Amino acid sequence: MAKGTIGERVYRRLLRLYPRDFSDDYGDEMAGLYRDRVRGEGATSVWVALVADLARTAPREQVSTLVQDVRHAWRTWRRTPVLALAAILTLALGVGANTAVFSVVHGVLLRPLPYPNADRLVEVFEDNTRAGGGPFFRVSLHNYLSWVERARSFDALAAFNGRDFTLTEHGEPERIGGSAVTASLFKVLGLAPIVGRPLSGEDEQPGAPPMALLAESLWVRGFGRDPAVVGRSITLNGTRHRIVGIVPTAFREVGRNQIGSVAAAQIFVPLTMDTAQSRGNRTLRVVGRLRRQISLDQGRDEMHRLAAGMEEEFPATNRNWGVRIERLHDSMFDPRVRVSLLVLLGAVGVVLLIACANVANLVLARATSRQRELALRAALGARPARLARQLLTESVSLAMVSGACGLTVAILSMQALRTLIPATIPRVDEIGLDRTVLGFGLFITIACGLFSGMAPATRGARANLLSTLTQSGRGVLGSSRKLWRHGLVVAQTGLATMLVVMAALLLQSLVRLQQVPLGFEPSGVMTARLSVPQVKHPDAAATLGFQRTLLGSLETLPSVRAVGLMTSAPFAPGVRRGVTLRDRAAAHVSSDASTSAVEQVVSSGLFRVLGVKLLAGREFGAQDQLGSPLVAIVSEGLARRLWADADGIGRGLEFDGRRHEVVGVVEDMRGNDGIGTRGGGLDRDPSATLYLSSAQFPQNTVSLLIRTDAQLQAILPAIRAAVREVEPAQPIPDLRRLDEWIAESAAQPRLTTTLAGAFAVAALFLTAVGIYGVISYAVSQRTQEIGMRMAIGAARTSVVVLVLRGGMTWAGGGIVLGLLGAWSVSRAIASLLFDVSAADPLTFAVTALALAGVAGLACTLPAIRATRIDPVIALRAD
Amino acid sequence: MGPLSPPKPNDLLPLPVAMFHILVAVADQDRHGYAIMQDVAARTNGALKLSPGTLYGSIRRMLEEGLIVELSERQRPDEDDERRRYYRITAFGRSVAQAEATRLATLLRQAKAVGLAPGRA
Repeated sequence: MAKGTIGERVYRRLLRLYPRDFSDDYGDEMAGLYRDRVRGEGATSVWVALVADLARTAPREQVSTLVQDVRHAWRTWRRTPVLALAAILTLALGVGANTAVFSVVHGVLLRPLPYPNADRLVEVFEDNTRAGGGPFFRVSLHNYLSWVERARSFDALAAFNGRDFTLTEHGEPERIGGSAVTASLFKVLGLAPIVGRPLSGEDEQPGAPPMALLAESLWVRGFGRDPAVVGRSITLNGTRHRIVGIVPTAFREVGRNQIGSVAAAQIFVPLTMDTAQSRGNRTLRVVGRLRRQISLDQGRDEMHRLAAGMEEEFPATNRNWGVRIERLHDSMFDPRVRVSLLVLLGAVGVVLLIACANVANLVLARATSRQRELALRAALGARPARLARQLLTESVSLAMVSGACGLTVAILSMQALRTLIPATIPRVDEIGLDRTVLGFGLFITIACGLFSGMAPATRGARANLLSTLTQSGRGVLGSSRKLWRHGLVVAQTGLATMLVVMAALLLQSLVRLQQVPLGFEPSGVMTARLSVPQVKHPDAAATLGFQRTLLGSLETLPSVRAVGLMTSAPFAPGVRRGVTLRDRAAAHVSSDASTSAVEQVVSSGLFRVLGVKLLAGREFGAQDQLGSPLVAIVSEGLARRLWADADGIGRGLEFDGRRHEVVGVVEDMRGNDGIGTRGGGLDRDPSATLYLSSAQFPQNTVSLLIRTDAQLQAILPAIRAAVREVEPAQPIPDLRRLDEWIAESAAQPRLTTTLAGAFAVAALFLTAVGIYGVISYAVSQRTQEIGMRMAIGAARTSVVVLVLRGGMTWAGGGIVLGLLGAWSVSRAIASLLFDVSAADPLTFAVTALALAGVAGLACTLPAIRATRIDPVIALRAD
Repeated sequence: MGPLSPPKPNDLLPLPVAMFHILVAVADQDRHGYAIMQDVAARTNGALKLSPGTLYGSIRRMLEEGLIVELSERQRPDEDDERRRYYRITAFGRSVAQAEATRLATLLRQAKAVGLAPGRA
């Protein structure tokens, strides 16, 4: 409309800020008003007033139109309450489940770590892949010190390892997880203590006075957040330690999942630079902060160069040892956690898509039956855009109600998820409804509303009065709309097929995982962590004496069949030292006869407790003492790796600079491969293990294993009494069944499988409902045609076939597409599968049959209903 | 949903100031938008100048609520050359305006009684 002055044209343009209806109705009037006012008052003052007016009233009119549309939407939804309720419930479950799973993904994977510039934090491991060990070994103190001296890529490197502390402050001795850390950890993490001072280099020197920092949680729980606690002393492991500071909760991320406990570290002491130990003694975890401008790859290159140099320099301990660097955010959990979470997010997203398709179908069916109303409104002057807006408002407002209900679903499922998710996954306790999660929920809610309203809106708005009113209301279903409906069936069936394939693969994997031979007999075995108070038992002989007395008194308890000690119970968390060893006698055969193994220090009765079979030689016995010739027992796998005939009895193994005579070979045992913080995994092959005698290498912190016929609750008081009798200041061990540790190691695949299975079942159900809806609708649209066919003599079976064929053709197409889709994405979950191929043909075939069965069932009901059509009534209906 | 019961004048009270002024403006004669604006401005000595957004936003709502009607082309005054839209008060609009006036009068009386307004109660 190019009339009037420039000012008027600009004003007309600005009027588009109002709702379309409003500017169409009053645009000309308002432009007229503008002309009148400019004539009377002059352009400048009018424009100032007009701009203010637009800013004030345009949003008001928009909101008012929206409110009107929403009111109208509710009036129309209330006319079909069952349909509205079905749609709301479907979407609410979908939105709620998605929000809950997203909250986990966000809380665990996406949220940055609580440190400044956390993307520059890395964890450094020693990599023993070349010698057949794993890539994620701990670091020896000497290698750490060499890196600190030589590496240029880091602002700082820090080392720490887990410690168990017995705190005797409030009467009952309490066992608390903690960490020994270097002073540089504060610099690496970029965190300062809340109260008090950080550690300094002097605190690390041998002979420095004992001191400790407390975690915020312990400070609050044990000391009532009293700042005056700094400077006071507490008794840890029988020694007075001065408290020098309180560290913030964020500190725990690196100290999490320490020895013997899955709880976060709560006490931090300086890591003493005890340089007397061997360079091959790998017990530390190392984290670093990359310099600004230095990329992870640059840091990696430098560390690889350093490691190569150190291999030359220290061949005895460093040959075949490289370095591995990972971002701290990645190294914190098993990469499979990431895959699992993303797979679950994808799966639950698929369920939501299927739910949306169902709702779209409902809305579309409703729009079809409302065709007359829409056509009438169009004839009365409502523009297509206005009708489309109204229809979209209807589905979006429905979605918003679903979203609100979905929030309740999300909160409930989040609570359930928090208890279901294994505690070994970091940051689970921080999962919650924050702004990002709420934003995500709102986003998918609106997206659902738009998606399910799109087809009805674009089609319904084009309602044509003439064709609608002249037809009976049936048969107006355009071919494009029919295609859209059947397209939804194809999409739903395809997506459900993909989900069912995934869930079936995971389920088979889990079943096989639980049938894997362990190499020992876990049932009836209890485990506990035991720390020997160092003050009372300062040397090896005293420690040994304490352990002997305790084992002796436990053995005499009724219903206890055997008692033993080992470094870490299989599948339980705890440090398992990696050692490099070689058989000097075999060294002449190959210059590189060294191999690596996991070290387990065990007591003489341990193999009997676990039921591990002795394959050759003898177990540790009374003849193996402090000072007697050093002996070792090897696992079958280690024996096979060292000697061609797997017979090592009488051979000498050398490591840590000392020779050990091999006296026995035992069956391979799973669960000894725990890396750093975690227990072993059922899916990993038994690792080569070297067993040493606890009589020759007494350790302060060990796992206590008890084989008993009694129930845990029945035997607990007797064990407590026995422990207290030997050492009153010993905290009561936290007994657990060995079975539980094994179950826990499979907790994550079990959770993934359970959730994926639940989502697959939901997808199947929704798809069945969707197919049923579409086919029922198609039958109702074809009542006349079917009636006619039956009137001229069609048999009931041929009617059933007609309906079934209509539905199954589309569903079949969906199944084929779904199988192709599953085949192309199943590789993404390959890392989660154990002993099952990601393209397992049987799984694919069975899934296809199952889906076809479900689709067939969903079509059968409407097909049977079709055979009951009375030709007379059908033909008379119009 | 049950049948709509006809709205009662009191349901719409208190009336927004702009709407009341518009009702007063069209109470004695049919007017178009600009005329309404001028009438309001004149009666308030320029204190209240209805902006176009407020004016037509109010008119839209008043049409929906049945307080005024828009005149058809034939009902327009002959002298209007710009073919503008004219509005006329309905019987319902009149009773709503009366109800609002009564409400305001009562309010004023109460204010006078406690000395908040000049004059005697």
